[in-house]
Amino acid sequence: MKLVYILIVLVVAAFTLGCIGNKPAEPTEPSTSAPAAPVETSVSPAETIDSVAPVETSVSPAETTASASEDPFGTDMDVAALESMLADSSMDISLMDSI
Amino acid sequence: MKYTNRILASLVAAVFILSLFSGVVAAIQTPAEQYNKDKEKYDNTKKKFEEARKIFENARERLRNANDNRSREELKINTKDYLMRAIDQTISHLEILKYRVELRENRGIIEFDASGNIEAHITQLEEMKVKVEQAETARDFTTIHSELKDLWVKIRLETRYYVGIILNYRSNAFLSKVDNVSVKMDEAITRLENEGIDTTKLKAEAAKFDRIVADAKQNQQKTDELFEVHDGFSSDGTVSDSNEAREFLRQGDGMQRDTVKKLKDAAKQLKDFVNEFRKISRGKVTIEGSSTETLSGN
Repeated sequence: MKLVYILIVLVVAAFTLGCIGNKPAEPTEPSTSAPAAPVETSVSPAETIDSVAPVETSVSPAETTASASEDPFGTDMDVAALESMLADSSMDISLMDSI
Repeated sequence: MKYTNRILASLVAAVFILSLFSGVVAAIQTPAEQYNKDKEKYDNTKKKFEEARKIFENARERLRNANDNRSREELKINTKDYLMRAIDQTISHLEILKYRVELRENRGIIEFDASGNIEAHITQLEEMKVKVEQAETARDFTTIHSELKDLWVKIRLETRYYVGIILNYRSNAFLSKVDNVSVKMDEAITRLENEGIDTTKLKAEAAKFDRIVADAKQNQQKTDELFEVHDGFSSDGTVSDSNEAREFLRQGDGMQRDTVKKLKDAAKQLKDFVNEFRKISRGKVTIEGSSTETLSGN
């Protein structure tokens, strides 16, 4: 019986830990954010240009993911991120003039 | 009895082990999911607010001249509901903007404690809800509504300012990125020329891209200058003069929308360049995604 009491106490402690675990994860950009890519260009199979340093791509929530062939430089995602921010900035509440 | 205790102990142990994971499982939430959750909450509160407003307006119209207690009570309930829903929607609005400001990638972009300012407004709104609960007379409700309207004006100006700062940072990052892309475009043209391929059309596409980017840069520079002065806002990000702040944001918003439009055009133009590049490279061009982009042809 004593063992049951100990386990009940542990359960309570575990739920408390669970609550701690529920703390929102540190916000980060979503996984759709593909770091901008180094670009490598060549005009003959044997020829390769050194790639440019990766450029950070800003991606914001609620945006679509484009395939690499449709959006090879990730610019569509960048634009979507900016438009999403503009949309949030435009949110309004229609309060009455007076009551 | 001993057997029952053993079963009970096993059950409790199982619950214990499961409960250890409950927090971990709940914590696994991507930022996009968190944003969608906040947005969904916002949409729901907005819908409820609009319904409450409509009901209140109808009740007010219907009971305008009624003097009986029942009518007065009905109007009081509808007024409370309208105010509560309005406050809830304002809080949801703030939560979305707070999320934006607190994104790891956005930390350090805003020099003052924007998150703290937003949190302070949420606290004010929670206190206002208590006032609504306690309100009895028409005068009480009018006072609260007036306070809410004033606070909303501030909140709207401040949050637009914060998003504007982040937007500027992101637009500048985008412009730096397309600078690199532009260099690579020129290199690609040169190499195609070295192979004896006619690049006239490709050059025209690249030139158009550069013009759009130059326009966007010019626009962004003006926007940056405007935000450096930040008329109507104190250095801690709070409103110091509503009229000045409104005018500053009106100008800033227009310029930012213009920049985003230009950046969108640039992205489209880049696609046109890539398509042309693929074509003149005799279809042997591949563009590979993931961590590296490769334009290659022969």
